[in-house]
Amino acid sequence: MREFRSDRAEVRGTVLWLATEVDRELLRLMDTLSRYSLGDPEVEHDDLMLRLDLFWSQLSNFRSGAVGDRLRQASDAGDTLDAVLAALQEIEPDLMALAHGDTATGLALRDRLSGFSRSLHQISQRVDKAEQAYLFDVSFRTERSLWLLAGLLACMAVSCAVLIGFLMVETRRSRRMFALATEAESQVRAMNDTLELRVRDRTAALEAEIAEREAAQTERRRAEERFRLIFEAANVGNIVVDDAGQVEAANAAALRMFGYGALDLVGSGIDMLIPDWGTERAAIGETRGPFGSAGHDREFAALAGDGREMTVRLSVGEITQEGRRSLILSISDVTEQKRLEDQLARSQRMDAIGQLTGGVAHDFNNLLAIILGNLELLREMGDEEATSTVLLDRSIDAALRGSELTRNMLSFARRAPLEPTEVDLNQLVQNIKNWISRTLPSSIDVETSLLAGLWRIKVDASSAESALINLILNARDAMPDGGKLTIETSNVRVDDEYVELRGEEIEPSRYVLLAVSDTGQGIEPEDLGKVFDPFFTTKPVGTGTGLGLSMLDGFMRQSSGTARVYSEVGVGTTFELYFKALSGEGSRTRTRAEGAAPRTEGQGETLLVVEDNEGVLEVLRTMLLGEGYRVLSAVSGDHALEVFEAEPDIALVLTDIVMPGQLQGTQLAKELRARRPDLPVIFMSGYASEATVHGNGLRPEDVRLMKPVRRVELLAAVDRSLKPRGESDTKA
Amino acid sequence: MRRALVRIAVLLTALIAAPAIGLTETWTVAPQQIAQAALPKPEGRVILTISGAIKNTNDGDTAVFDKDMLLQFGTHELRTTTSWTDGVKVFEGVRASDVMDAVGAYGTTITATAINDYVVEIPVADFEKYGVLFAFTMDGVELTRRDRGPIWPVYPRDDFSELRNRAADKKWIWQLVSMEIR
Repeated sequence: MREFRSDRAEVRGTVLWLATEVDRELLRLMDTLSRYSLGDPEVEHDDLMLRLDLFWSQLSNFRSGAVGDRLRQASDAGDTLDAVLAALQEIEPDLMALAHGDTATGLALRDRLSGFSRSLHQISQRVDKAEQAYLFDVSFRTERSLWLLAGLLACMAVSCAVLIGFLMVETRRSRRMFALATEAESQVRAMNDTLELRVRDRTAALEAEIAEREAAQTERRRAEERFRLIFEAANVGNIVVDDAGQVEAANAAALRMFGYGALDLVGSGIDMLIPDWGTERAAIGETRGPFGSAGHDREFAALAGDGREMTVRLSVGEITQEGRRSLILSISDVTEQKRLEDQLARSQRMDAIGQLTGGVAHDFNNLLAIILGNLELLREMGDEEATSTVLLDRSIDAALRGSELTRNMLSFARRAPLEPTEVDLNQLVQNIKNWISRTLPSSIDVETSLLAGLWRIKVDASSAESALINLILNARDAMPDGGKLTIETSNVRVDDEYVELRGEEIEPSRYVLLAVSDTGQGIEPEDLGKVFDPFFTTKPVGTGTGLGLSMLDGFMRQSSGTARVYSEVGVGTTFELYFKALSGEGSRTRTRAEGAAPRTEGQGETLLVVEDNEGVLEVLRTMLLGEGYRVLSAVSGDHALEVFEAEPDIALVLTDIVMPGQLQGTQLAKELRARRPDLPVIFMSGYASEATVHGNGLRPEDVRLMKPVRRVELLAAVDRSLKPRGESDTKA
Repeated sequence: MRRALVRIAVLLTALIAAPAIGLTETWTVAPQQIAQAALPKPEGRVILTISGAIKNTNDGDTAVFDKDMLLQFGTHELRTTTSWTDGVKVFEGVRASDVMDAVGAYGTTITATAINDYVVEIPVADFEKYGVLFAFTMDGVELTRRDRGPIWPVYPRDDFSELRNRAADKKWIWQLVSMEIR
């Protein structure tokens, strides 16, 4: 009996334990599921599967065996369990496929499971109650029948009393058992509560952790976004390339600079932009890249998306992230700057050439002065032999041409002022054409159309010549494959109507037009407006200065004329030079000063000639002595001052401007005039510009002579300078 | 009389001491030599860990087994009813006593633990006495975690009346994973 009862109690305990175990196992599954879906790193998919299997195995306890029968009977929950099983089978694939940290799906599944929690809890409670009732019932029935049997064998009389006694005992016993059961139940409940509390706490903690992690991620994203914006907004082109030179990123400025879209550039090799990248890299060494330590500025030739050649300055920084090396290139487009620098260098070179030319011309002028002077002296000596006179004339002519050449050289060196004279433009064109034809290739056909009766103009002849030469050479360069070059002159009357019609800044007047046309490649419309700009050139570096046409334009403006250009791509180009015609038709060009005014011979006036070149000095001395002047000479300014102090009777001073010693020509004149304010001075120089500097003590009436000085010019100048005094002397 | 008593005492002492000394010598040498050869390392997933009073180990202080290692001990059948199943079931598995022999268990009590942290104490003597089976299959179907596998100790419940109670049922520790022997 005892054995049987205790067995019953044990079974009851087993059943109740299993009922609560299934309830608890569900809570464990939910806990694991929560942690797994919230991304708890300690919980892996295997853990989740284990919990699922264990819950499953707990459920299966209800399905068979004595214990299962008892469980089902006590819980009266067959339907509920079937429902739970069915639902569990339904969500099983989802659970198996659930990804770690898939919070949304995981928590939805957990909520679905939590729906069963209540019913399973109810089941365990029902089992508990049912087990109590059952046990009470079984005990009661068993004990009563035993005592009835005993009562039958003994006496009916005592049975009531005994029964009452027994009932009292049994009731106490049942109460004790009931108390035990209640205690067990409250323990189970407490356990469940603790577990639920733990699940809640853990879930809350994980959720807080996840929120924190998300906040950190948001912050990081914001920081990344900020750096991206900085990268994008930089005015310098930024390109990030990987170790192999492949573009990883490029900012807006870089895309603009090279004229690419982001998609074209990213993923392409940087050598698409900078062709030398690879060779530079190889030359300097694989390990350190082309820059040694990062941050060096270097210039590279670059290629834009449209094939345009550029010069860029690169500054390179190195980034190493997770062991991967990238380079960030900060790129500035220095194409324009480079171009200007080149032009500056070229114009500086031009200036240097100019100075050199000026210097050479100056010395050469002195030599010519000696040759020319001596030749003229020989001629004046009046050798009767006609042959020698002819020979002398030829020599003089050659010396004069040499002098003209040095003048042109000085003009090129821009050290000569414009010297407008009346010019027959047709003659000028003819002269130029005659010699320049030889420098043009035979494939170019030169044609001139010169208007007879062309109005006369007054311009600096040598500048006009260089302008024409410039245009002819431009035309030649425009026709590398040959063509036709036409030089044309005509008379043009520009009236108000014409000006309005053409919209040109030209004063209504009469003009002589010189037009040079070629049948070359023409000038692009967008370049047409720039042809007269300084340094504009379409020729390769080294072949053109870009200065020719701008000098021409400047010359034309100074000469009250204008230059125009018309061009059609593929047809040709015409340059038109408008020279203002001289008023008074038919005015004739005066030939050089030879036909000069009548000249009086020297009457023993004392002249002081200051010249550091002894050869020149000697020629001048001889010329003047031959005319009956008394000539004193000095070889420097300081020397001249001494001579002047010793000989106060000097009527005229002829001085070179540039000389060795303290006193230059102009300062000498100042010193001398400080002693004698009305002293006439003739200045002689190889550099015209030296004589035209303002505020150097020169007076407007002072005569300036360009070396080499021809005899007639010298004598005319001396005569003119002495005249006022001579006249006053005469009057006096 | 006294002399005879002394002689008997000496004889008795010798009788008790001699085998004791002999046993000590035998037991301190032989099992360790066997242990090195008898317990290979598991190649598959470990499903059972035995620790505590054992002589043979293969993983530090413990002996670990994968399923193949256990099957090496030879499988046996056991037919019985259980409190958790309907009708007579055919279980197949290895003898628990074979496993105990393999690890050289020298304790008396096993603290067995299941996957779900269920813990129960089992006397080592049970295994030999009842021929307890570590069952892997039931009616030819492999036991998974969902149905009390992979190891379910099974007692021949139908053959012994003392096994048909709750206390005995408690020892059917399904989903057995580890045993500590004291």
